[in-house]
Amino acid sequence: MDILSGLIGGFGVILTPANLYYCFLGSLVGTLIGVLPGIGPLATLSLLLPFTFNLPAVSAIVMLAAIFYGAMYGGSTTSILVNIPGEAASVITCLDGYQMARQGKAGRALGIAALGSFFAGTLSTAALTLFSPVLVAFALRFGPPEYFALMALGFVITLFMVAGSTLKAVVVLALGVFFSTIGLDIVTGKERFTFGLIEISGGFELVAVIMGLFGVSEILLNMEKMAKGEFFKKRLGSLLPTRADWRASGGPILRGSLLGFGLGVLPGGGPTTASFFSYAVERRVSKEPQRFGAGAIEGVAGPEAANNAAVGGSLIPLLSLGLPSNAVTALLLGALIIQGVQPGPMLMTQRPDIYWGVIASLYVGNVMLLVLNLPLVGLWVQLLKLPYWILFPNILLLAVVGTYSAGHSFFDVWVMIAFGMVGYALRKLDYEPAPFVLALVLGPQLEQALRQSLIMSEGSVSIFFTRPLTAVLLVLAAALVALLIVGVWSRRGLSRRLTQALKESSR
Amino acid sequence: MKRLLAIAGLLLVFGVLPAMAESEAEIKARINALKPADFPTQPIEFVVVYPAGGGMDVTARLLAKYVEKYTEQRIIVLNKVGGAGLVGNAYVATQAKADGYTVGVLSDGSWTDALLKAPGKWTQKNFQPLAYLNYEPRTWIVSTSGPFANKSTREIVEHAKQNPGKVKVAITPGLSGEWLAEQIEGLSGAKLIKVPFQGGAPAITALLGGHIDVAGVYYSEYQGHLAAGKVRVIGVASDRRLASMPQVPTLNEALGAKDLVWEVWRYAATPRGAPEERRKYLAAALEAALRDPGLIAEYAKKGAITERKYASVDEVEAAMDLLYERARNFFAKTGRLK
Amino acid sequence: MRATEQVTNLVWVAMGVAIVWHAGQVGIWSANGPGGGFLPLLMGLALGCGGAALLVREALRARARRPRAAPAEDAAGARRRVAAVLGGLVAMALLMPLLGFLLAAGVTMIVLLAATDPRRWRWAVVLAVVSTLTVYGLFDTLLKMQVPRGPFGF
Repeated sequence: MDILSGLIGGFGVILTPANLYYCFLGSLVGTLIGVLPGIGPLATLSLLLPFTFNLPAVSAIVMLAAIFYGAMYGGSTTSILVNIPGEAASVITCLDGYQMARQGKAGRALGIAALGSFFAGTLSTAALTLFSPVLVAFALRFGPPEYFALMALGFVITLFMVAGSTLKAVVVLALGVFFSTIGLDIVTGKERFTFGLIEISGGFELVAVIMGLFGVSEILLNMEKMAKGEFFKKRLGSLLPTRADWRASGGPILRGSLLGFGLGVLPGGGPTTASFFSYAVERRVSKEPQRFGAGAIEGVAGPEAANNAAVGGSLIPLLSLGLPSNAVTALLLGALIIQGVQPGPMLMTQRPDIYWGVIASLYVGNVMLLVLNLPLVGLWVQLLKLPYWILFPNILLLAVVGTYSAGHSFFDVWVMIAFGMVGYALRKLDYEPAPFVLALVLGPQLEQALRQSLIMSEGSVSIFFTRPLTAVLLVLAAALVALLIVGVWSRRGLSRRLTQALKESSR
Repeated sequence: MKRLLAIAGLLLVFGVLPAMAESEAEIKARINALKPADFPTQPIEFVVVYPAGGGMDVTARLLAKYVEKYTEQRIIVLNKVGGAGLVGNAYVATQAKADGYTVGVLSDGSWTDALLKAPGKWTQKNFQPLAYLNYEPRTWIVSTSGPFANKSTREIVEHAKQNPGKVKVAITPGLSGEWLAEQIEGLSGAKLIKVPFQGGAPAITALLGGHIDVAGVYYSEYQGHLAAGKVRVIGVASDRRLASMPQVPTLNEALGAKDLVWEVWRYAATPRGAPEERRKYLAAALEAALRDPGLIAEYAKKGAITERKYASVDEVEAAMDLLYERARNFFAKTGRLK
Repeated sequence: MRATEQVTNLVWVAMGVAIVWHAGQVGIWSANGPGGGFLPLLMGLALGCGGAALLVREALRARARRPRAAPAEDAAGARRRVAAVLGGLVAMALLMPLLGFLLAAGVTMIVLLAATDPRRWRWAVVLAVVSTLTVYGLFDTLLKMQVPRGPFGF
């Protein structure tokens, strides 16, 4: 009953013309920066923060939060249209969304992304409304060993994600984790693998790597075939998801929502991880995994639902504990503090207007974003009718400016170019670059958790097996690895081929 | 009676306040008189070397808000993040133009970074201070549902001495939390398990979850949990008790020591050599902002302490030299610096 | 293509070895748990082993005699366009700090468009101007993301 009256109070706060306006403004800006590659919610929030000083606290925080989840709606657009992820959380949407676009199904992909985002956003808000206190208690049980186990499980799951060779995925993951360790040692603070370059003492800028690996490499690949003409089927099918699309997407959206919400609640989780996990799960449960990577709508619906649900989840530790689970919620925390509001256990009783107002605004904002994004689908699809010689220089321009504005650094532009060449080479050799991004995001967290755990146990690995939650997660990871090895061995008849080859060579 | 009060109120507002300080318009006019003709023609950038939303960032953004109020110039807060501050500090010290458009909102970390991670590349002398902002001492806190809920610092350290490896302290590697824990180890002979965290928030999460026993963090990072009774402060790493919690002893008092003083010391600076008239203008604007009761109240609310005053930029510079020497001696003594 | 593939696999093995060696220099184990080289060491091993396994697999596959992919038509043109795009990016990265975003991007785009398809140079100029101004307007004016400025203040 408390929840109901709180929520009604929240809607009372939010359903004023002024607050609705700021919610809408945030949704609009969020969609825009989500669509534009490079500038993510983090950069935008830090720029817009000063403009919110003079707003009432509720309006300010409602607008900033709307930018955050609005970016998740918009982020999938360029992934689907031109293979450039608007956000790290939309990297995975490239795999199938872009293929759908090339097959003339861009409208259906964009439509399912928007609708899936809406359902996930609303579902996770409902979960946030109802279960916040329970979830907080659960999230606190995650200490360093639990995080290590979760990260390890995440990497194993990623191996299930890629369509091609598992060995190649191992190589890409290992490279990604190694690159994530370049820079300052997170425990001792000493430089490693930097060869004295101060620019990479903080590691590589994620935006630059993503722009290069996906955007630039895609253009280079298309350049080869440019003489042959166009890459997108001109005849466009349905602008909205068909009934068959819905049947295929229902399960992925539901699973993606749950997964995304759960991971969002955990500090260090967040939208990017959630989208990768969801994709891997969908590919695993699908009856036709070979369709993934070739334009499977489940591969768009699941991850897009997951990254939106994760936003709702990540607001729980922020509002109830005052603890940000990623850089964007850290900024929201800063915004609240500047407004003189201290998020944390007392927020719900001391400032119910803010606590419930923000929650109510999530329901409202998700509706606004759906109404805003669905009509845009038609517009975006028209963009693909432009000839490629007009499209590609614009994509390049956006990639350069987006990368530069992420950190105001020219060095990052060079990083982008270098990763563009690497991505081009890798993709020509049938390597899937997406796991590299996940490895780059999760690598530091994996190392941190591993080293924290072993420091806590004074070097003994028993810490991973004496804590029940950790043990369960690690056993799960080990079982998946076993499954993978058995699967590869039997499916590809590797053993048969090996013995045959040995016979031949001994002849 | 009511009318009497109203009259008294009016008198207060119109009579007493102007007598106490110059009005906002007067301050603005004074600052504007110092404004060079060719400056600023574009927004001034406040460079913060830590991520948006953190303690330094909030400090800078609040400051920017009040400097904008007095100068009516646009100020952009730019987060030059990376390498735990190294990238941004190196930027202000060695790369940014000394043209007055770059103002670093920095901490004592700006020179300890150079000492530890980029030896010889720059010193505190590369930063020419405009103003001292505030300071915030590190504090030791425990969880009120943990095994040390009712224990004092001395008791916890004693426990760690009797049971080596049983007390886990959250530290931030390469920052004062680590040095503080090391000093306490050296002082008492106890062996602490120093678990590294990237900043205060994750450390506090782990403390609340019972994964660690003590966290060395800043008040601004846990004030919500303190108000809710989830954590208890057991010691302050300063040379004086905090006005906001007078019952909590300093760590020096608790352990009978003299040098357990670790504070984040915040200041604003230009790269050395910026034109003097531009610096005068910026310094006047900063000073007006820092005297504004609104800003003082907002800094106090987030746990930063503004009470320490320096009369002039030269005194701030002298304080920086002192802190630099103190840090250098400590690093030399602990073998971090050859 | 197979030769390229095998060279890449050799690169992985070499990188793996280099990482393992470098990780040893950083320090694999310290007084309090794993050192800064611990995880890189594991990754170096994974990379090296993965590369080695790929090498072996590819060598075995050779016997299966897969049909060769048909060579792309217009290979020279393809190479020229790829080089043009890369050249354009490098030029933009070099020019931006000197000329500012608007000039650098505008000039690069005209050259880039002309190089990839010389027949449409007139359109190239129009497109370059429109696109550059649009992106500038979006990022710099609307979103206040400062793009690099040149000596003329824009």
